[in-house]
Amino acid sequence: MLGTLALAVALLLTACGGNQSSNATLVMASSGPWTQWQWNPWTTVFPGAAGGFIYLPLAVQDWPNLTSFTPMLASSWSVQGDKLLVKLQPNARWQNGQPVTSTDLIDTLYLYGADGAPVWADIASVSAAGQKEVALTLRKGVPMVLLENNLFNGIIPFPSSVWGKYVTPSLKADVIAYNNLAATDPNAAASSAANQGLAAVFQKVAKVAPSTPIGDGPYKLAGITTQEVRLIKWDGYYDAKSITIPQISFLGLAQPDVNAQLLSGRADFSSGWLYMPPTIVQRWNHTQDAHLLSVPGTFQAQVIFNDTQYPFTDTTVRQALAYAFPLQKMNQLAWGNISPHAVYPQIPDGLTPKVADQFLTQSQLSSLNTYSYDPSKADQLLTSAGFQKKNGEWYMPNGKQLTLALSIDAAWTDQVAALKVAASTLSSIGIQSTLTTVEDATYVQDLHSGNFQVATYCCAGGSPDPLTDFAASPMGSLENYTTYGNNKGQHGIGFGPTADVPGLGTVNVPETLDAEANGVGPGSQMKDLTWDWAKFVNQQVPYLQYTNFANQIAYSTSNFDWPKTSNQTWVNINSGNYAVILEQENGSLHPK
Amino acid sequence: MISYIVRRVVMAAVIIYVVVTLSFFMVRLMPGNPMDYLESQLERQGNLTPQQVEEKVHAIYGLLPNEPVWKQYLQYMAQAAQGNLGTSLNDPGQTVVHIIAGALPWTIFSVGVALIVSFVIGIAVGTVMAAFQDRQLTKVATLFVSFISAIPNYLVAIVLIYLLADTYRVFPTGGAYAADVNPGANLPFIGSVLVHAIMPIASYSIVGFGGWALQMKGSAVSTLGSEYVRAAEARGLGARRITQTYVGRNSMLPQVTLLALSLGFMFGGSVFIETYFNYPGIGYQLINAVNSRDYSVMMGCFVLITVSVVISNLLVDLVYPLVDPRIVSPAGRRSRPGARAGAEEQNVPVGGTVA
Repeated sequence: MLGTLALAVALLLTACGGNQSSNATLVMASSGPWTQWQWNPWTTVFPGAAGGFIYLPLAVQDWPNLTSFTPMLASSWSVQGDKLLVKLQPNARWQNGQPVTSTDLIDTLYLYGADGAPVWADIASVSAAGQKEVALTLRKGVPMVLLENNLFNGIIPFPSSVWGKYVTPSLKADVIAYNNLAATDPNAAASSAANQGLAAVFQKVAKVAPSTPIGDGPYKLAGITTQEVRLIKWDGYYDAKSITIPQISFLGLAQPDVNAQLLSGRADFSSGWLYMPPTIVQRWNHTQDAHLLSVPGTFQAQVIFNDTQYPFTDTTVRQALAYAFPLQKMNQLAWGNISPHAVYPQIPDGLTPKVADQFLTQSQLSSLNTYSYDPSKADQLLTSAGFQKKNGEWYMPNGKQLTLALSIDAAWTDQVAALKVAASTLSSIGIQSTLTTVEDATYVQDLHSGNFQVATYCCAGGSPDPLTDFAASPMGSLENYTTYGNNKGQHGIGFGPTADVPGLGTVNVPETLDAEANGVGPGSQMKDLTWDWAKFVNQQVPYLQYTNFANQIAYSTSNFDWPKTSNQTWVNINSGNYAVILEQENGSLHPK
Repeated sequence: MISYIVRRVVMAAVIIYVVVTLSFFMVRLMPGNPMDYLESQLERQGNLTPQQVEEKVHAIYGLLPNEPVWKQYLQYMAQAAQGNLGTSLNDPGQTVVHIIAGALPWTIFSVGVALIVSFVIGIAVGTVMAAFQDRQLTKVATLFVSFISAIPNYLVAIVLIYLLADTYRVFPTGGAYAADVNPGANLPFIGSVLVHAIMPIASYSIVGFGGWALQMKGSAVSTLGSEYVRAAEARGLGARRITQTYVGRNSMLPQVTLLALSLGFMFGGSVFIETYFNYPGIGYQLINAVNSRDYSVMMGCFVLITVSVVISNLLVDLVYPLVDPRIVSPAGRRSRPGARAGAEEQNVPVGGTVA
């Protein structure tokens, strides 16, 4: 009996020990839990740990610069006439021993074509210029920089030994035919035989279930469970000598669990959608060897108004509400002041500051309205719109009381706190407000169907391209009279769709934004258009930008040496996976 | 007897059909859909124009069924009758049957072990409490057990995670096994599975045993007061024989029935614990399918839960007549000479006779 007990205890201790990470294992905690996984990049359950660690991207954007990239699998690239020539790392190999060649990249591009990848809107054709070189021919009228952005940001090559059999001559013909037609007539392209052919191939490809990934990155898969991907260094990587961390444990957890892992010392690093509430920030900052950065981010959250309901159809009322929302207080109470997850936008212009600073001048920015909290300004504007204040409550010109029903996705717990502050403040100045939280899976549909008065929208932006950011806002075609899917033609979210935009005149807002995002590259025209839309957002208040998210990056120097917090890498590299690889290659990240 | 069995089987089949039908339509009436879910995920990834998001959603959900719902229903029922529950919407490379087959062993293992552990401990504690019901310690124990049984098991899970995983790191925080072991018949994998299962099993068992203990205590106290026990005492039978044969077995009978019924509910009752521990069982798959509106996987889980509950009830119905033949022909029981009103509520002595 005692012997059996001892054996059981030994077994458990062995298993416990097996699960503890050694000091040489970098534990990354990510707030993206997964239930299912598939080593198929054309499914929605492709593990987030794969990008960068198992599969190399061609290059990484030096955010927020639109024209600067750090090479990875693409060792270099050059422009020759209308061609972009991309050279692949000469010694890059797949984990099955085969070399990475131009065929891999070309096949991958065609498969991305079946997936609707934006890079095909930029190119007319693709061909091999050598064993390790690929030539992409630019479509007429498309700026080269847009191709670079879509190629380097969106494309990760996969091995032809796995995927090449799906790249048939008919797929190639369909990709070219569909995109040629889409460039001139998107509606005709959508109903074309070529598009049906692409859909058929995609459906076939989406059902492929490889048993294990065959990557070309510095790590290969050791194992995967519902909350951990275990990666081990692959010695066949072309720059393996620079990789000093032998193992990576990539955890996929709910956000509170990420913080718990960091605080308990189990995790060494977290970035991306890390959210540390102010109380956790305090605890983390008092933890030994703990560091926290708050890098200005790419996303923003907005308060949106139901554009089909009075009084939100009145610009003056929207402006009054912009003054009545205590933006600074909302941000401070929800996210705090120390290395916060989100910060107060000083100028609601529809852009995050890093993007705005690149494309707008200081004089332009200073001429925009800040909408600092000012109840008296709100009073003036409401009065000028015919509203009356009686016994401390506002009444509309039709005699009904002005009440606001605020809605928010229940899953955005941090923003719920901010909106609670808004509701109480608005009520205190005579605009009776209530806050309702709505289930995550229902929220988007509620917004599209117009089942709201005032709601929060998250998250717009995500790009260093200002026109893409405006197109991804509630004014863009995905939300504003959507053209596809269950919400086709609905106008719950959005603005217009026609409106008088400064500098552009009366235009169809979603269509114009789409055309500009897909057709205008960096330069004076992009700056002019950015200024037009910034003025429009600031003056017309189609939505109220109420917070700018920051990338909270937490790391511990207990087991690893990291780049200094002042290192530009933290700003430029927008992905934790890529940062871990590039910093090892730079020699600034290694085990102690 | 045969007509009794046929009636029960037909009723079970009808219940399954009705519940599956209702589930099918209710799932599709749920607000939200997988396209909206994916759309919001892609928007959060950023760097995509609305057209790009639309195209990706279209490419992925070109796989969505777009026939009228009634056609989908007929198709689903025809396929389900052949054991084909479709493919996951989020992962078209996986059939629902495959996903369920992968999740099923984890739930059966963790909930099954927890059920047995809590049952055995609960019966033992309940018996002791009944045997020594007048003692002060029993009163304290009853209060404690009542308190424990009233706590939701997910609260116990949170406390265990906080204490034993985060603070003291005795156990891993979640998963069914460590990522660095090879799944298969090897010692590290088995050890890892056991270690990862301890906290989920403890969460179920800590709460579960209280209920069993209270039920056992109630049942045993009731049996102790039965006429046939008093008669056995009067006949001079030994205390050991009375306790084991008359009291123990008769008190256990309703508990065994409840245990059989509990087996049917094991899949539906695992949602919270499996979610907190990222334990890849049926409850975990179900809650994630609901959140992402993966209709196929949701339906698969609902079918499994329904069928397991109905079949466990059916099995109890079929086994009970062997224990109590009166169930098959209640009319005969009523016409038995000397039968008293309310006699059917008495426990039948196993290994003894009604004196």
